[in-house]
Amino acid sequence: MDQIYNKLAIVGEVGAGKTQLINTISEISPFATEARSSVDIGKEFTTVGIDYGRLSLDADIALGLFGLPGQKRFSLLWDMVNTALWGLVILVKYGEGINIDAIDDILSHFQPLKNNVPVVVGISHSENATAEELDVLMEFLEHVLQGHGLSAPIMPVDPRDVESSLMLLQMIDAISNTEEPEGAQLHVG
Amino acid sequence: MKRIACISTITTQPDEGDASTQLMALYNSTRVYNRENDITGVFLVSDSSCLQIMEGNAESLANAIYRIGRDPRISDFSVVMNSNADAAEFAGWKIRIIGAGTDAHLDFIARLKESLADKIQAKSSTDKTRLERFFGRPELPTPTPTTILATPAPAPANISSTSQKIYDDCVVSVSAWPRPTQMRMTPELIRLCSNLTKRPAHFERILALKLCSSTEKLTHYLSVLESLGLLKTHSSVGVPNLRVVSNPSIAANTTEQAVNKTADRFSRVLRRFIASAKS
Repeated sequence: MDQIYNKLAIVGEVGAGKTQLINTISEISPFATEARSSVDIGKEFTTVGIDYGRLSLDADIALGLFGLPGQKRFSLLWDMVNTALWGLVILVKYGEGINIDAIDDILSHFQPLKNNVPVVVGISHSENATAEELDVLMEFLEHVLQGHGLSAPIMPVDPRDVESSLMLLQMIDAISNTEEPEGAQLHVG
Repeated sequence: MKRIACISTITTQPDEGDASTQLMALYNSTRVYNRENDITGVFLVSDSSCLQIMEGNAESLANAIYRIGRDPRISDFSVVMNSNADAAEFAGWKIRIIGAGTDAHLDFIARLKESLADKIQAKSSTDKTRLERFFGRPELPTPTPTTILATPAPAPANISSTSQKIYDDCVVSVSAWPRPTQMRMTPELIRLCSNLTKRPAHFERILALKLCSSTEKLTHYLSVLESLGLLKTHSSVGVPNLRVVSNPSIAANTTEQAVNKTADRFSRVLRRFIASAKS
């Protein structure tokens, strides 16, 4: 039987929890490209390249996890991963406001609508946020997604927690397994 | 420390998106600027009127005022309060949205009124009118309650049979995913939304796909989605060019079948993995 290898891109700003998320899901120690941060970004190390993790689901089935920095200047790295993606997770860090332009850049570059790639937006660091506060952020994010013709689930995620992290995969799986247009519920005829 | 309040009118610009897009852009740029310049405060909007209260050092506030005054999205700009403050009143405030007319909204306005209203002075009748929008406790429409919904339980039979009639002749679609603050994301709901956000489906077709374990649950989910304003319903009766297709195997070529088979297998194994990891 043919081997199946799917790729999941996890893109997000500094400190959003990409490395942690891969750490939580991956069965191997992530091949990380962390370096000591030269400026105060709230943590000692930051990723300067691609984090890579892997989840073997069966002898011949695996999911590759690619953590990518969220800034447009790293779009070269985005290109290295952006082929035949199984899914795109955009991690947004709650607390300091969102960088709408950066999310716009990610969506413009990956073009999930055109490439038919399922998207899920995870909001990290939101443990202490109230429902109202999350609503505001989600409203912003929905607006940005709509600008790219997308409707995607937006959900809080704790990258340290296995169940919470796997929920992202569950979402991507659900979206990618919607009924194909042939079988269409409706036929214009 | 200074505390300044200014009232203005938001003017929409042609070719820059709809009003909500422009309001969000204005809010976002203000929030980013204030954070970068250690300014705290409040940003209130009522119709096209905007009341901003800002706290910070005099120089930062002066620059902020200068910036706002030159912003093409802002017109009829007027400073209605300029006072000294010992400490920031709004330093701990985080962004939040408050539904118009809710208790939270009225409490918020009452608090604002108590702490600031006597210091705010309208310079013109226009200012007065605009300030009354915020502090005059206008008659506000009854808000649509945002309810955190529990996992749906199967509805009683008599209700379900009635409710089903609402949808059983309908083609439905979902305009946006519900937020986790609105509905609990169960696997059934995830499957339902995944399908219905991509394309409309006839109620009978959704039933046939077995996205939900029972007709009652499906009807319940659709009802809740509709109450949240996320469900679009279109009656299929009398629409001549729409018909339900019952045979899903139309025009699937060999390559597509192989791709689907691979995807199915991956999905099956992934689901098994997630289920075992969670248990």
